[in-house]
Amino acid sequence: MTLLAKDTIGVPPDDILTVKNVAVSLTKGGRTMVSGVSFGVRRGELFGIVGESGSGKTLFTLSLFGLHGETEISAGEITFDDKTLFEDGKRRRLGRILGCRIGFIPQDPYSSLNPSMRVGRQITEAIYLARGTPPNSRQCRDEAVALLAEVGIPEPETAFRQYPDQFSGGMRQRIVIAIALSQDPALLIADEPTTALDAFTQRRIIDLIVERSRRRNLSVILISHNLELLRQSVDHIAVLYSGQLMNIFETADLGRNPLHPYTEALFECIPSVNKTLTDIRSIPGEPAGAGFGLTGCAFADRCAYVQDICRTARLPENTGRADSFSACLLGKGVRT
Amino acid sequence: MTARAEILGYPKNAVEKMALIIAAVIMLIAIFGGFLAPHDPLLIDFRSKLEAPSWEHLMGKDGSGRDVLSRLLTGAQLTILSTFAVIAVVLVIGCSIGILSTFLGGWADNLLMRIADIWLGFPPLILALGFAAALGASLEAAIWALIFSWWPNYARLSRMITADILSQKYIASASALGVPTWRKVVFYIIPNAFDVLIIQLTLDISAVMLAISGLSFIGVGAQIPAPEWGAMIADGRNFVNTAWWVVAYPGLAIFVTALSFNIIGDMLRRELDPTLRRNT
Repeated sequence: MTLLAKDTIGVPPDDILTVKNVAVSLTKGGRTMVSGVSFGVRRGELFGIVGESGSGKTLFTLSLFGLHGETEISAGEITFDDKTLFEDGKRRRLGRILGCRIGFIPQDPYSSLNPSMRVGRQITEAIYLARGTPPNSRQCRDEAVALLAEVGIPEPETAFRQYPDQFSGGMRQRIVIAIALSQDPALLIADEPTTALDAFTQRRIIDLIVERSRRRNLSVILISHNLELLRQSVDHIAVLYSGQLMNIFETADLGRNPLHPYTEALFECIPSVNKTLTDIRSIPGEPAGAGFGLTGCAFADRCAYVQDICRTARLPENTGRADSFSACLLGKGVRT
Repeated sequence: MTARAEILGYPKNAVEKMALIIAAVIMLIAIFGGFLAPHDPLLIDFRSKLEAPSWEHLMGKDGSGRDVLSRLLTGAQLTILSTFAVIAVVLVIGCSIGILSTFLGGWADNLLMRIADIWLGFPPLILALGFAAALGASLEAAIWALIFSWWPNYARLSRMITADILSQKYIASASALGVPTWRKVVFYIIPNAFDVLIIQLTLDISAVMLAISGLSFIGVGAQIPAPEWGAMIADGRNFVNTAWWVVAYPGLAIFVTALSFNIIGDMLRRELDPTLRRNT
């Protein structure tokens, strides 16, 4: 990855999404929830965003595309698919990107499908909105059935005519993925796509997303609080904590390079078969909550290495949108 | 959710089955009652006034010698069709205002809903009474008066349902798919509001029917000789001691119709209301 030329002036040609110094604030009250986040997502790569509940990971990612009803971008620059989505405090050209270039897989498959519309119709509707193919046409139907087969729904012809409540959670999430894929997007945003599912189904859904991404050269942003799941499936992981970007690292490099203290602490919390319950560590203290700002490290109160500078200095920003970045004020973790 | 096709599977006991059958029969009478009437419902024959029920006149004759059964069958049309007219118009107006209000949001939403609140502060029958009296006593006036006083119920209800649906995740998903607002209303909000609306609607059928009959009874609705059920009771109330059939049959008709629709409403509520529905 270091071989790729990265200039600070233009956008690297292989980035599908570039986020520069973006801050997100609430529409009501204007409180800044996430600030100073910069990273780039490559074409065809899987990009993970991890964080505890309330770290702002979902809020941030959804706000980038105006999918969050109560937030707005308050600063920074967003470039998607070589088009500027946001700069100089103004949003541009969002209309034609939603519904054809971006696919969205929400958290809970039990409530993210329209309960009174047949599954097939929901897919043909999406195809119609993206490309204008009449939803009742033979071509559109065939395409929808093919998509249901692609995401592994048994008997796609029958499923086409059924309602969402006739499917299990895992099957519903597959249908949601089929709907997202139907618009042939360049970027798929999966917001904790597996939290509502059991462990076995989780694995299969993630595998499906990874496999579809590789096959279609589709970029995916995978938001999750499950670090282990992300480590096994994505190329880069960004770690958010209390609205601050803590760490970005390449999963292939894990073990070779040092990590941000917070990321290390997160890895120690992962349960595994070799650990008993008492072996699993937890990070002492409570999360600071989103909206910490950029003065001082939000993790300082819980960090084992904390020094005075951690509470007063301005947090470093990932201005170069590097593949490896650590915001640690003590310089722990790799910064390129 | 495939509710619309399954209504025949809903009745859980004999009462609900009876209610469905009676409601269906009454609807048929409302449409074809005029053809079933054995005599002319408006033919006055003072020689046979207040004649007791017989095989020739199953429900007897009223104070002007008109056949009560024929009037009842023909009158079903007036009472029930005007009820449905009120419900239909109120549904369209109320829901349009409710949905619009939700989408407008802010002060416009507040304004519309406070107007509806103020409206609801008046007893609906009194409001309708005043309005009907102002329009002049006729069945049309009663219909307009009820529409006028009933819309806030649906505006409030649809406002509530729409706000609830808009907060659902599938609306966020729809936004991500690029679904324009009008398609959201047609394909997402109306179909999903249907289940809750149909319950209110069925329960309101009996309420509106009682209100129309009530207005006619008081004298601001349908006028004699029109065979509207409420007007028939009003016409026969002087003879209630000597000729019970003049009052009892239209009263029974109102009672049975209102009861059937109420039972159906309760049944639909049990089957469709998301807060009462057992987990599927």
